[in-house]
Amino acid sequence: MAENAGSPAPEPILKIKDLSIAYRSGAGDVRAVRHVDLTLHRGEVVGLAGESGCGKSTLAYGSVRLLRPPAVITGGSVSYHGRRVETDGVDVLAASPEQLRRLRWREIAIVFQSAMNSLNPVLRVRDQMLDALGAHLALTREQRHDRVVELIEMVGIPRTRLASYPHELSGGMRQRVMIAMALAAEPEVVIMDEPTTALDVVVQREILAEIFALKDRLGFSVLFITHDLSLLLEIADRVVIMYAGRAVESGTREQIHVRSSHPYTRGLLTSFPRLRGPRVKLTGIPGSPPDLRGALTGCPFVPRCRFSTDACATIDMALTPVEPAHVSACPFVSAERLDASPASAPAPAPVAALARESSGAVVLEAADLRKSYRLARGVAVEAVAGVSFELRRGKITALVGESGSGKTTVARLLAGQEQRSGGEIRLDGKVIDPASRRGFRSYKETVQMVFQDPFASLNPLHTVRYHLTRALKLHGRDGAELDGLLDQVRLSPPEQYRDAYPHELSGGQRQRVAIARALAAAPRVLLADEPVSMLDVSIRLEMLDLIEELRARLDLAVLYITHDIASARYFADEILVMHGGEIVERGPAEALTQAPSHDYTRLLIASAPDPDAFGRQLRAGRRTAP
Amino acid sequence: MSALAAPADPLPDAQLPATVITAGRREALRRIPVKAKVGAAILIVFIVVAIIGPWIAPYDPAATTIGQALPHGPTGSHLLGTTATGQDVLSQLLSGTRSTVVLGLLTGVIATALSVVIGTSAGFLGGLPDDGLSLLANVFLVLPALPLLVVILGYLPHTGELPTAIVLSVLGWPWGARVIRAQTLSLRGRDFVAAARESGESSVRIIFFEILPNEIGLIAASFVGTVLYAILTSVALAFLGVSNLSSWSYGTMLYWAQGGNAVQLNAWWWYAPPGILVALLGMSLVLLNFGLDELGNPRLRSAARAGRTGRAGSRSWRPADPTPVLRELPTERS
Repeated sequence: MAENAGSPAPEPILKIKDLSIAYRSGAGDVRAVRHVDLTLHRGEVVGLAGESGCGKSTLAYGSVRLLRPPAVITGGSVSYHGRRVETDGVDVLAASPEQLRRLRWREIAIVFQSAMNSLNPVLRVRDQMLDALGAHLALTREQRHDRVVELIEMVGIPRTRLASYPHELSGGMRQRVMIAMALAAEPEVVIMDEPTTALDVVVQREILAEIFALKDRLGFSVLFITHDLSLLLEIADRVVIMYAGRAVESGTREQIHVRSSHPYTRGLLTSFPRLRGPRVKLTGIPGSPPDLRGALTGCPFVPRCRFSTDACATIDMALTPVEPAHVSACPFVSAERLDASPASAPAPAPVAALARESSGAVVLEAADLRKSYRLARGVAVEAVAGVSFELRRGKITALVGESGSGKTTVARLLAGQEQRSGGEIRLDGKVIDPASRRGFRSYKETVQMVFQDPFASLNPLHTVRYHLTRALKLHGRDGAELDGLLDQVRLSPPEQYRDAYPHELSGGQRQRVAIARALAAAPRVLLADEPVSMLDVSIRLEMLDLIEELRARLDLAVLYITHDIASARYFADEILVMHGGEIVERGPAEALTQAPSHDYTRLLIASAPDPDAFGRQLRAGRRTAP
Repeated sequence: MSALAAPADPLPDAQLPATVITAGRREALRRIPVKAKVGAAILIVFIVVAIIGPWIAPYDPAATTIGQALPHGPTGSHLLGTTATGQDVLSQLLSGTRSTVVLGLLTGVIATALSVVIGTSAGFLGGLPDDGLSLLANVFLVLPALPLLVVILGYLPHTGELPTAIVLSVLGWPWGARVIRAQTLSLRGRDFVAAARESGESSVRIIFFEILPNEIGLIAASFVGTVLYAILTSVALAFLGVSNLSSWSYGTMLYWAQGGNAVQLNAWWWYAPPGILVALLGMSLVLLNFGLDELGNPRLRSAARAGRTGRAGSRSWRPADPTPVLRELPTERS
């Protein structure tokens, strides 16, 4: 039914017309949403995708007027046509606070991204749910208690967990509680803002299956916001792509997947390494989105577009039909032209990783590495339980696992940032203790670690120059080599970046500075802890390509830690799959991903978003769901 | 978004040029909260008076008029009147400012230095040193400060401000130390500290160049708070007579005014000016503290601004209100 192939005229339930939203600021208003049309039909799943800052969340929250100043709605209309409201719909932009209060949650519910922050940490789950029900529905005490039990079991949580506090629940369970609360009043529209982004892939898959089973049963419509286009291509009926505050392309799942005709959509599509099919070189979208202050004339994507012409500077960005139900803001480029273009439709050129010789000498070895943490009351938790592997020069080894699997701890033990509780670390065959005070600095000449979050790993008060010259001097090099370092990580021209503060740089640029700092030690081993997970999807591949280039040029041994097995396949020579503190499977990247032998690896691969499968598993799973 | 200050670029470079975003100096000055500006201005006046006061005082503050037994009200020659013994009140104020301000600043410097050293060491080292230093701070926190001060200062020689400042500092550092320790604990776990270790930086260097600069706002606020505490306490002590009564300060002025029955004689010009100046000095420090708080905590700033920009009808915007609809943006052109 979600395919709505049978229903001849789908009824619109939420109509957004020409909506514009701006954030007022003294330095020029940031016009985050510009003249966007979006219609959600009954029972439909519409996906909203784009890079961060493209306006997708602003559009969704603005359409129910949940944004707080300095955000203001500057134009357009939003109307809601639910079964339980007047026949001609509710004009959301003209509604009084009281009307809106009745509309929100009862008619239009929202599932927020961060379930931890949306739940009150000092209230038990039962009390929070009772509160929410009491605030919106006229029910007796008994009815409310019954409803809470009914809701929590509906999302697959045993009723005994109602007495738990939020911190006693796993991330997945917390998100289920949020979903249960959102569905409590049987809303007709549910807005989901990255509901699974903070979760591990396996849990993400479970929750999505849950959402779809509920959707089929209760018949609500979903506006699903995510930066993960490959996920949308699995679950959404229709996909709207946003860029710089505008909708640039919209079409059905199949149309976007196979015949997308806007270069930006293609860029997003080629930002995700695939788990199936040939291993090909991908490009992502170099550059970053434009500044949204003031009026943008013409197409905002021009600086990043490979197909830009002079005419692009003046087009009005109106969506023009490409085929039935498929519109695009780019009148110059067709799907055929994009297909023919080698960089966007990746030619089966093998990734450099495939063609590598495998004679790298072992640099760093971990033998039966262990780390346990002591909790309160003398209970010890073994985060790393006997892990052995070796890193070879010129090779990229990927350590794949979900959060809590101990993969980051392994990197920190190898870097000497933490004291191990058992096992050996060997550098060039000699047993060493990286965490010892005496050997630490000389060890750092060989082994450097890059941290996950470039927004946290650079001191906000120091310039790029300070960060890099300090690192150079500490390793006995001349501070003047600064420009060379910036050049190595492709931050050119150097004079533009030398004296910048971290807050003046984009996430990708910061991560490049962080990598440059690691390179200042001229290391032989680079430990990269989720180096791209905090970056926008469009520039992740750029960053991986940089690491790959450095590996080739400097003959680095790289440990790439990630939760994303598809990127490990794209990028690494060898994959180690970690689960519960142990390595459960290891092997050459291609062999391991194509023919996994351990159950956990299979689960991991099956859970990864796969647009080529068109959500087959999810939709198949739906039929068997209760 | 709001951190960006340069005018909008119609077609910005895809590379996001770093220079565009750098705020100008004038812009930075404009962003300093009004509270801080007012507080700083008043404080500067006090400091100037502290420096030049004794020189511009029209009379010797201790010079008495033979035979006078009652305070005289303000006249042309004595702008703020005289005390019961004929001493010029204005001259006493001008000379006494120095002692009060110096004592406050001196205590602020010593106590803040103590709290920074102890707070950062406790926070950064953790474990046993942290337990020991925290215990020490807690012990000092629960010492009954005023009686202790009276006892100790009663024994100390009353020469200059230094002994008093040291005693006040020893009793005044724990508040700052506790706050700075907490902040250090949080900063210690940040990635940039781990990254500095990864580069091979020493612990000392990490404390002074990575962690401390991030605590400047907190340290400044703690300094201002300590100065306020020192001024109020020293005035109170002098009023009680526990200080060098042969020198002039706001506290000793109040002490003599009390001793000379100024209130009973209705000689407001004798007791009110030093009281008002203490209040004014305290207010300037409190304003400065609030301002520094706003500067260091952008959320306070945007909360203040949100109340101004977002209007729902005639009253200011509240968190539960819907997003305002503004069909015409004043600055919008297209």
